[in-house]
Amino acid sequence: MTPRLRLGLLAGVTLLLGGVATQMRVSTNLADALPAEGPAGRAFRDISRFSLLDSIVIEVDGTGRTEDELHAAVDALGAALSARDDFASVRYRFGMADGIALRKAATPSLALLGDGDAFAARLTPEGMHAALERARDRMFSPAGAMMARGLEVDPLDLGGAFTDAVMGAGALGGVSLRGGHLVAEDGAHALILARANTPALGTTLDSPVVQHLQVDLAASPLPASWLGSHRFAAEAADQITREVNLAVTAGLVLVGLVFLVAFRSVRPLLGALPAIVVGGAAAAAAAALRSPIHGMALAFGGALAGLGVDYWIHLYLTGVRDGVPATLKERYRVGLDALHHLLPAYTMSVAATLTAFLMLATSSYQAVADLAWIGIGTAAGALLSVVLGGPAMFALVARPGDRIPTVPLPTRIPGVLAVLLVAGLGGLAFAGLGVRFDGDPRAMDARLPATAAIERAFESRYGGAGTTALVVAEAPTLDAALDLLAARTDSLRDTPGIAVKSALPFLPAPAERAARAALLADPAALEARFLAAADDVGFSGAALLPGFRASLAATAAPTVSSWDGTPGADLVRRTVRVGPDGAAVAAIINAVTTEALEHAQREFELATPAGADDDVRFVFPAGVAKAGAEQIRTELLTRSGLGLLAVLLFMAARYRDLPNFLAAALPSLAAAAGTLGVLALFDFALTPVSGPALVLVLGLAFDQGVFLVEADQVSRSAWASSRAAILVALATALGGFVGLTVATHPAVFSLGVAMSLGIAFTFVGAFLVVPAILTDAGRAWTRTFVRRASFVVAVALSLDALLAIRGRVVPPPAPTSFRSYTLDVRSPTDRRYGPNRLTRSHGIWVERVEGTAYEIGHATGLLAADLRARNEDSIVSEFYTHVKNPLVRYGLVRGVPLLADAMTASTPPAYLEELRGYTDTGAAPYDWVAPQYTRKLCYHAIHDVGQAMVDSPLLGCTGFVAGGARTADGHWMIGRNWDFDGGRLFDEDKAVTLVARDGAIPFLHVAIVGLSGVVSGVNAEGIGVAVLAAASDAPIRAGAPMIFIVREILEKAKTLEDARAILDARRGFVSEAILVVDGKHGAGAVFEVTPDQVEVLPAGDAIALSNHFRSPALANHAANLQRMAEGTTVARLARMEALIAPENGPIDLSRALAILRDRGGAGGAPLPAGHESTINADVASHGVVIDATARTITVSMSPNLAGGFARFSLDAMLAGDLDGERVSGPDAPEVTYRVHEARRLQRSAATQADAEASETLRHALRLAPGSPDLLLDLAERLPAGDERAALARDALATPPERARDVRRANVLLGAAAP
Amino acid sequence: MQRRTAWENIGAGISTLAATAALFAALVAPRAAHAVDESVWADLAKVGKLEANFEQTQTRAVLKQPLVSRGVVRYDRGTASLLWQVVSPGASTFSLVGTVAKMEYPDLGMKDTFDLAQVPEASRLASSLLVWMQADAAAVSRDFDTTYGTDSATLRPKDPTLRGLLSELQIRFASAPTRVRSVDLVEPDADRVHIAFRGVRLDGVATTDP
Repeated sequence: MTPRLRLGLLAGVTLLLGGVATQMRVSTNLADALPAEGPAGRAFRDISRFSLLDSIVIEVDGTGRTEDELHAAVDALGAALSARDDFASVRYRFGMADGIALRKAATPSLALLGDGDAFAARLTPEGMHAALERARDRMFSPAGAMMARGLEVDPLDLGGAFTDAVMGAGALGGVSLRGGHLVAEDGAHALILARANTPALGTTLDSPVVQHLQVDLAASPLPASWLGSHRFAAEAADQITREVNLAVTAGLVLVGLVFLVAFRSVRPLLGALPAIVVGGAAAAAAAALRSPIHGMALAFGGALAGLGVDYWIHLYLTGVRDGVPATLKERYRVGLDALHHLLPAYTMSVAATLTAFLMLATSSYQAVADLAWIGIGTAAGALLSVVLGGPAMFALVARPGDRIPTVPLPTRIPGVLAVLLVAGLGGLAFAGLGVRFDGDPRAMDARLPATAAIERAFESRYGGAGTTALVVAEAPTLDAALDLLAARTDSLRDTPGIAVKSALPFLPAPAERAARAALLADPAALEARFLAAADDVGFSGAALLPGFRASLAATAAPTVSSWDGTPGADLVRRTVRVGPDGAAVAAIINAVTTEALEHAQREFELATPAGADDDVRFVFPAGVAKAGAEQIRTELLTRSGLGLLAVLLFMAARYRDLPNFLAAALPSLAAAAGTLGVLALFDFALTPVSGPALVLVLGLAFDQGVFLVEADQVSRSAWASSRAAILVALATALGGFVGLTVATHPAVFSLGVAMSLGIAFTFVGAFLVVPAILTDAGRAWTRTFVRRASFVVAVALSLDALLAIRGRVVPPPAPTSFRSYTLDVRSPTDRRYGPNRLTRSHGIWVERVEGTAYEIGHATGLLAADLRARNEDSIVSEFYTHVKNPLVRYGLVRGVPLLADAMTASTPPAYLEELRGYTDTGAAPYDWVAPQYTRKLCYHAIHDVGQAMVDSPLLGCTGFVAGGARTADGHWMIGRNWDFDGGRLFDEDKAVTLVARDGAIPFLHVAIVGLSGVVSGVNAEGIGVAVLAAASDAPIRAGAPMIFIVREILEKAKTLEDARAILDARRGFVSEAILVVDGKHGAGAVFEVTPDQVEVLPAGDAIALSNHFRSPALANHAANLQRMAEGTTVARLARMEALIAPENGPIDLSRALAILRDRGGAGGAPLPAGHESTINADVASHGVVIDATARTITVSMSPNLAGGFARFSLDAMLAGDLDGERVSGPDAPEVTYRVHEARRLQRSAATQADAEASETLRHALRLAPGSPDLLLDLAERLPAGDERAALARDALATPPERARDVRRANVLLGAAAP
Repeated sequence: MQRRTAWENIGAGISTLAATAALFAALVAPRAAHAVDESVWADLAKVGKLEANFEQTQTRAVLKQPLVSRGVVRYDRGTASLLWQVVSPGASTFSLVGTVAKMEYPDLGMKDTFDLAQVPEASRLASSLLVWMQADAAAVSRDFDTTYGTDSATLRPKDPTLRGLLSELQIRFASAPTRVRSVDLVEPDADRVHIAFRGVRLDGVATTDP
């Protein structure tokens, strides 16, 4: 092929590619980066459609000013913002005009509006009486005349009830309406709520909405700040643009410098131009074929443009290695020869690149697939440019005298160094197994310091980011959509910690309208009821009757436009979409923390009818983004892993020689191991940005390995030119990315770090290890090493297999016949299997099982099929959280099953049969770790194993026994909090289970579905039991898990003596205290149990208990004393004793619940929420009051004890009634959620640098003010000074939770440790 | 918390301001013992502070029996502030400062603040009544048709909107010094509110109840 033909072809192809590239459309719409189908894409469309991210919150700070001044400032700023065109709505005051407008709009529909339950209550005799009494009392005021007028028109004040409900519904958490303004609880801040006309995505600092906000806020009479997605987007765009531009500029300069330093001439740089142009055109053409393509994919793809430059550098240096001829024709020939020499390497490189990217091209994420196709285009373009244009460019730019740059590195690497480096890379690879993947979008979102400070202040006052979600319902008509939304949000009404806003109060759904019609079906009866109530209150029924009739006849269904001009207009217009394709309505869920929202999502999912389609969905932006990022991670891992495998197989087929294969693969293996290992060691997480970047680095590293091996097979001069080319290629690549490592935006920073590390370790592999392999001695050593390493790995795998086999527990044989039924799944929360049933009541799973032991396990396994994987995932997750060391984890996973024989020998056979029945119902996700039966048996030992860890943070309980004269009704009761910190599973998925095993006493207990043991329960003979952790010096020995022993008590004991006999006959792992009451015979006891002995603590009519022994035989055990000295057990016991003291009067259920919810310290002094020395430290998996005489258990509803309490009766459940009775409402769940969030922040601060950790801990303190643990953590992160000392003093004064905290405080204050 | 409508709040303004305005019809300046004429308004402006006990009796078609409430009223011309405090049978407080009104029902746990200026109609009505209270004789004759009798004056609103709420205001005076003994607000549907004042103190000086 002549040069002209080559160049002509190249130009033609470039023009063609360029022509195609002109069709490229770049999108900044995130939806174009997400899968078209699937939760992420759909969620994003919903968020955009309902403007979830378009809200802006403006806060006016009136600190030190009067309330009137604050209100006036809000009015002034609100008026200024309202005058702008930037906002669809600005709400800053709710005044008389709003009330008038609402009332007027509501009049034709009075009987349809407002809360259905409240309306129904108002139509009862009591409700009518109360409404008329209120009206009469208001008539005493000076407004009596007008009250009378209103009474005549709307005697039951239906309009007032509706107006009150909707006027308050627009407010955020932590905000109330005062003086017509939205005022924070502190009274010093007021809010303005606005919704922008333009979406947040795409906003920049120059956008009009941002500019105008800044101007208006600056002019505000009082200081004002604002927050919202527009601000985040604008600042992020500005930050990313600045930093990337800076990095790109610096990168270009560095690349130029590298070329100049390496070649001492710009000619080679000019020679790279065609490669850049053709590669870019090919990439753009690929992007055009995939258009619209998101900017993110394009940005990543741009990084691949360097591939063509790398190929050119190799060609150039290969050409100059034997000297450059003087004539153009001869230079062209040299270039052609160089091309032919390098073709095998080019082919291998392109083949490896194409293989890897083809794997990614199958991703469901459009952005990832687009990136892959851009990569394929770039690789093809690079090959094209060097094959068609390389020799010609060489002829044009090379000159006699051009030489291969000197590589300032030794050509011979000592074998010892190489071995050490390989060992180091191996260590990094092992560490890299623990690298985190952080898909939380907040981790990729930077805030400027000022914005972060505002966000923290807003979070502490009003609730945090990531705490808003949508429920979206779609249907062919608006009415159908409203019905769907009403039905599916009903489950959220009683969910603690959230507020639900929707158009439903303004647009009652057809089902609600029908329900109202049913309530109004007998007007004569209603009128008679009304006349009686009016007469009783002192009104003339006859005078009020016309208004009564008219108000109940006001049943005109309102429309969307009915509410225009009222405060409801914005909410209605925003959450209702009606079009030719159907209707969609949304409910906005605001929660106090992300955890509360996740809980709400779960309740929503559980209430989803079986077989329901996606027409109603819970859209949790932060959750979906996180799940989407996890999906990216999974896809990257699987596809990249498959790609890597394919490339390795390809290489193995090509080289067929172990040293060559390893040498070719080593740079990429070094890049992967080194990058992941360093990230893990410094606790930098992989992110949705740096993950794909790593794939690019691996591709780059593959090329270098291939070039080295191919060159080695040619000649030493080829080797030298390849080394030089690789050095220049890596240097230019590093120059392009190292500038990103100084970025402050986390996404840009993570990209820079991943790429820079990858390139650096590629260098290590290519220059410091591969040369050692590709010598004769190196080859021999490599073969020997691989043989030995394979042997070691085989031995290790065999040992592991042996341990696994040894630990495998042989289950009891399955029965030859057993009763089986048909599983009837009516809904996720109503599953039936013959007489067995699993349902949900008041947020608590309720289960009833009966039959033989095997049948009970079998039924439970089938009923809990949906929960099985989730429960085990949760247990495993907590395991990873609490046991961080992978070697310890491995030891426990392989070691605990070795105790199974002893457990099996000590456990009643019936319970083993039950486990067999459960595990026979299906596979579980972790069967690859160990057989399910083995795992299930070991899980029942968690309680005991956890206790075996001295001072385990997992366990700590407080309780009491009371009966006879000490209770209001003489019943015998146990009250206790089970502070088992085993994860949210035990709290949110707690279960009340009735077990009626053949031949055993039926009993009721609370734990989780599928747990065969008991921690708190009561049996049909009136025996109530609860187990609390304790410690003694008795050595731990394998035995029956204590929860099985407690179960045996419930299944066999009818008296305290029976319970004692069972405890004497069985010994558990560890030491425990067992509370037992006999409700039938009126007695109670505390059994202090160790693996060696059983002691009885006299209980009398009442006794308190926590986590230390008090019997004479056990009180002085060193382990017991140590626990008393170091832990919180003594403080909790003292408080419990004070609360149940006789002078406080007899204990009824209400008092018992109040005792369990107590947050006080010694003498009742208030302690910060979450203080672990309190009875209620916001950590209990369940709080329970067991009434052994009535055979009921009253159980807490999550979160912890704050959601309320529901009572379940053993007798009722035996008869088939599984509905619980709610006996106590929520108790400040927002406080509990904030404590949880504070603890989460505390855990994350532990891995942060001091400066970042300080800010995190300050945020945590705003959520859980006064927590001594947080005060000390923060103090320890600050430099020595006044603030540090003040924090330590505050912690000491609180007081601290444990003895070690006192020591910490004293150290901080410089005092000697006691 | 239940909100009041504008009309209910306007009603608060009407009855309170009307009653207080009527009180200011009592002047410290000596007046003819039993004859009252338009000149009585000129003296109203001289009273700076007023305090009195009241007993309000509502006779309405909707009530089986009249509704009686008692309390205290205070007015300060200097700050243009009015306080109407019901003490029995149930506590409530109405205050008006400028156009900003506040109502509070402690027993019902309700509190509300509103600006009459937000509703032009309510603002106009309140202004009319305030003008009358401020003894603007010209405005009185502009907004009301007034009939004077022995120890009494009857005011009928000219404005149709106000007439829809109030047919006439009947004021009875006591003498030495001239002051209001009682006010009757008669509504178009014949409902009537009778307010009797006792223990009147004008600028801190107590008067003797007749």
